[in-house]
Amino acid sequence: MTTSLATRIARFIDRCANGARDDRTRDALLAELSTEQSTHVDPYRRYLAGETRRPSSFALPALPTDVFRFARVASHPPHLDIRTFRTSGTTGRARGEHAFCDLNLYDRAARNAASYALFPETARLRLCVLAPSEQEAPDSSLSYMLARFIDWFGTEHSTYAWRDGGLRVPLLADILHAAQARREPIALLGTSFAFVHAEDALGDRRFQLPPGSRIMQTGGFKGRSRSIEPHEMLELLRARYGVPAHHIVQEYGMTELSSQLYESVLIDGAEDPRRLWVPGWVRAEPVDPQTLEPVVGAAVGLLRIDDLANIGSVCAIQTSDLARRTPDGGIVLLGRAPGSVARGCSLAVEEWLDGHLHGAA
Amino acid sequence: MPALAAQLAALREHAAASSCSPERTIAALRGMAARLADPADALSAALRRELHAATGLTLPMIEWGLSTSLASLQRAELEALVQPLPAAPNRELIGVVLAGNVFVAALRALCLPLLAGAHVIAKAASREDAFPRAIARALADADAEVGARLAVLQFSREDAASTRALCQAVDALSIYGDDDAVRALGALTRPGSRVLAHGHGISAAYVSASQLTAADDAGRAAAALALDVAAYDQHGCLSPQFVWVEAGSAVTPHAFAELLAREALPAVQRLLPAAEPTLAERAARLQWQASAAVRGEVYATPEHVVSYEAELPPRPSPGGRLIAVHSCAGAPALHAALAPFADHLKLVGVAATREERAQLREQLRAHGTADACQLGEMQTPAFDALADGCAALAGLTPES
Repeated sequence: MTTSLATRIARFIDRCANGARDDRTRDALLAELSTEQSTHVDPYRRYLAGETRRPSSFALPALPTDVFRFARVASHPPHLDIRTFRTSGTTGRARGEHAFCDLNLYDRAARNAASYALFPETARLRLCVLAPSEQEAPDSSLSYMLARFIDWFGTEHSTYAWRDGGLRVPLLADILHAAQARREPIALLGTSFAFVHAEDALGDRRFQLPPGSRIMQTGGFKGRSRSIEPHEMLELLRARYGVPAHHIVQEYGMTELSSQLYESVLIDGAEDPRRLWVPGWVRAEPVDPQTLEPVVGAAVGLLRIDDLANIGSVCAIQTSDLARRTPDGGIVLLGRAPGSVARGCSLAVEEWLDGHLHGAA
Repeated sequence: MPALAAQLAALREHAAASSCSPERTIAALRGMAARLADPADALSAALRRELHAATGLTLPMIEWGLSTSLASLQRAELEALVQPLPAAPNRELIGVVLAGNVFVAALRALCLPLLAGAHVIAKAASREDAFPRAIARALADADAEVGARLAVLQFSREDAASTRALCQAVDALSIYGDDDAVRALGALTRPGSRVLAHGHGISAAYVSASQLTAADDAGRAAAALALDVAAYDQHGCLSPQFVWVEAGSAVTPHAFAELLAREALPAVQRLLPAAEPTLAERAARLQWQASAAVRGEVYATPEHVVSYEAELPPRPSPGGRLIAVHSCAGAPALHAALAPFADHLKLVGVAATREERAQLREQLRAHGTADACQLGEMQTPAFDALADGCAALAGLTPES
């Protein structure tokens, strides 16, 4: 990796803070970065050698996320690793790994995106995290990111309601009551399954959090709690915490990426449908799995994400998540493929290869 | 719910009075099978159309599935199965919860409890109820008395009241599906009732070096494996998800992978074309194939993908005719490779000498519920084959 490219990307990410965009420069940097990675990152080189399709809308095909489970996807040798994030896993089998030798761009991307889409106000907020701390889950990219959020956006009273492997419901209730009593806005940040645990455990206790409060939820439910449809989850959160729907934000992050996407509700109030805000240093396109080209119009495709902050691995990542574009160009995330083939007694691959969404331990 | 209650009451009432001999049941089952195997019959022709619409499988694939599964109801095997049963009538009501991944699985799931003399209430899978309904209809037409012992219904898995009512009403519940469904439904049964769990499964294949000394032998093994992979587009728990090929013969494991990809699977594709993949299947293939390319070599066509991944640890296939070929040093190495899957291993298709296969089968049975069969026959088990390590009628009679 040339220093000049890293420096130019860092500057570009800063230029795109506050929602600014320059897609031409972004695409030029992505082309330069992915071309360099195609020679220096061995799994990407091998994947491209066997992939004959070359979509005209991108410099190169994107690397499917599953490869992170079976190969080290990094442009630097292991002895330079300073941090390795891993996908969530309960069976110990084939967890995806994303190794970093430098977290500068990760931090820059996370901070710029969150300050625009999640914490647009300048004042710090009290944060309450419903996810393991960085110490408890050192290989979780989510825990790392949330710890930085406390550093960057939190007041001194920010804290974790998740401790020693579980949600501390009385502590959470105390924090919520205190925020209510002091009329101090609070941000609840956590995984979807943690919010479901809270929902089940809080019983009749309902809250009316002060104006300015917000909720950020991320990730799936697999194997950790009952599943709840997104619209139902939104309604549960709204009713439980008294936070208006336009202050409840879904975060989309993956262990294999360095940048995060957020629902745009705090930016533009768009709720019908909710769409993802894509930072200026990221390109997100639903693509046709046959041609690898962007789908036409509002057709459903597989979300491809090109992330300039993924400088030490591969910037072009192919997910299995379904998405479509709105007429105004927004991205609507549709989750995993609906109507996927029935597996019945046949063991689904997902049973072996745990969900890849934001690796919360 | 009223329909379910009425069906349960009718079955109970019939069970109290009915006394159907095993011979009569066998005759009715064979009559049903003969009719559904005849594509010229109106019910049977409609069944083929409905299955195509519901499953997406191609018509040749459906025809193959129906003909091979219905042909398995051989008189001698059925008679041998019922021979040890007690003479007293079986007045039990058995519930069967069907899975939707491989339509032919309904045949054995419904016929075995009927053979055991029980009355059966079956909940069809939400995506496919055509085959169980056709079985019920053809059975009733063949012999109304036997047909009155089977009712097929369908309700949403979200319908908690109906689910509970079904689970509570039966003397035994035979559940086909994922492990979560088996656990959840089993927990709803009443105390004292039996749960026959047919949960998650995974299958594999093995080719011995003894079958790779000559190109013709290797070609036969590859053709047999290709059929097992292609059947039902690899969506069954008896579909091989990976194959270990013993090294040390004239045809190497790597060459076997090429043979499978370039000759055997295309030949099967001509006879049993693959279904048009859904978006989800295309997504799964994209991911699986990319990892294969990184781990080894890939041989891909629009209809199938074969990877050669040498001695790397196995990883499951999402189905859709995607299979990894691994090299191994023989049966002991195979057992080591299969160990991580032991809890869910159902079947190993084997191309080997008769003695090698018998030995492998013995070893598999000693370590779990997996069975072994000849390669090429993984998807066409005998009607009296073991199921999840148990005899075909185990758990289906009051004494069991």
